[in-house]
Amino acid sequence: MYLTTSLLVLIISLFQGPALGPEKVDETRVHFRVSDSNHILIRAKIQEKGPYFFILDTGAPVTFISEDAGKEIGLKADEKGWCRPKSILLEGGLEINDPKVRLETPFQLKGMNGMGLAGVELHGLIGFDILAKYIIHLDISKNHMVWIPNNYTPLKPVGAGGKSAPENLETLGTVMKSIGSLIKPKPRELVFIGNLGIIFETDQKKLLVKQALPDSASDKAGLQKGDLITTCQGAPVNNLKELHKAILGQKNTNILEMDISREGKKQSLKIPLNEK
Amino acid sequence: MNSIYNYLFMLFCGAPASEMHEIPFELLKTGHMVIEAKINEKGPYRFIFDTGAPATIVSSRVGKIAEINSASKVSISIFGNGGQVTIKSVQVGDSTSSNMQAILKDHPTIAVISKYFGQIDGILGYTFFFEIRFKNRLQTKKNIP
Repeated sequence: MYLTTSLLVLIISLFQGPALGPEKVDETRVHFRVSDSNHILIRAKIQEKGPYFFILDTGAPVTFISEDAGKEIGLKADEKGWCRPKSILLEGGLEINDPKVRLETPFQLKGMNGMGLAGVELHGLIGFDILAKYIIHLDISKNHMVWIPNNYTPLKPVGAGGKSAPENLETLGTVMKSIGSLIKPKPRELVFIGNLGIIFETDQKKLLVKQALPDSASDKAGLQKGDLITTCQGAPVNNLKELHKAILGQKNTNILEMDISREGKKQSLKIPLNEK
Repeated sequence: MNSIYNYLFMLFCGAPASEMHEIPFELLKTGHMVIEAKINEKGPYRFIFDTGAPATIVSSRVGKIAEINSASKVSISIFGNGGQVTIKSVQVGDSTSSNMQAILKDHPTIAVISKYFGQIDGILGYTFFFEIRFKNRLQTKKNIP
């Protein structure tokens, strides 16, 4: 059959026993918004500090808190990178006590924050280990979802082969985070802007490069830390908004041309975006 | 397949209760949920269900079988290959969404998971949800006098 109604509600349920309708007990309305990059964002306070922005992410087997947010909160990771904040309070009033989370900033999150593509700074991911403990009613067209405890404790995720999860599996969801940053916000007019792989200095009002991510298109093109991007596709660019505009205007090109200033000297770079 | 009952429920507001669909999913030991979907009436194929993914990704293998043509809409690729496509139909359980935006790509992490847990052909992400809503809005407009 075809879907014929105006709203979609996803009820994500993971529980023991047969399928049942949600009970009207202990339910909490958790507020959310959809970011410019099509991520479902929840605000949360951690140990009464914040609020911080988290992505609702069933694709992330575990929950992440960025290192910057962790430092601000005063969290310390153990030798394996885990920490236990006393509580995570989701906007709407749902308190998650003593969760075990990764204190780590996936590089895609760094990239998105560097580019400012989500519209807000992202501080982490709420992953499957927490989400599985709730029946969640999610209606994308509203501004809140409903969380109901389901008394289920998910097994500790393991990696392929049954050993400790390799990083590339634990961060599947985080790999996907970068995809959204490559897509224009208007869903019917999705346009790729390529995987440039540039992190900018956030305390500068100019497009000063903090890092060209290893093996990214910008790295291969020779972009370096300290470079100042001055033009893109012939258009002067002085900030991220202007850079976005210059890039998103390119729908059918394989090369992005940029002028940069390196130690005061002008240089031109050609960044291949359609490597095959 | 995990021994416990695993279901995704898809409920469509305003529809009769009978239009709430139970979608069984497989819970991988990695903590990922996998559901089956038919693409352009071919399959079913296994996909990671990922609310954190802002896009839907379909493997080149399925793209070829399901005759998904990316050539007309590829602009700039990501991670070295793939491109934006429009899938005529994505069927999950008894429900079908049409003209869904997606990315045709072989994701390296999906390849690793497939190696250990069987073939997985992509990720159902935000556009999976969004396309349903968008389509329905269009249909609703048709009903307005």
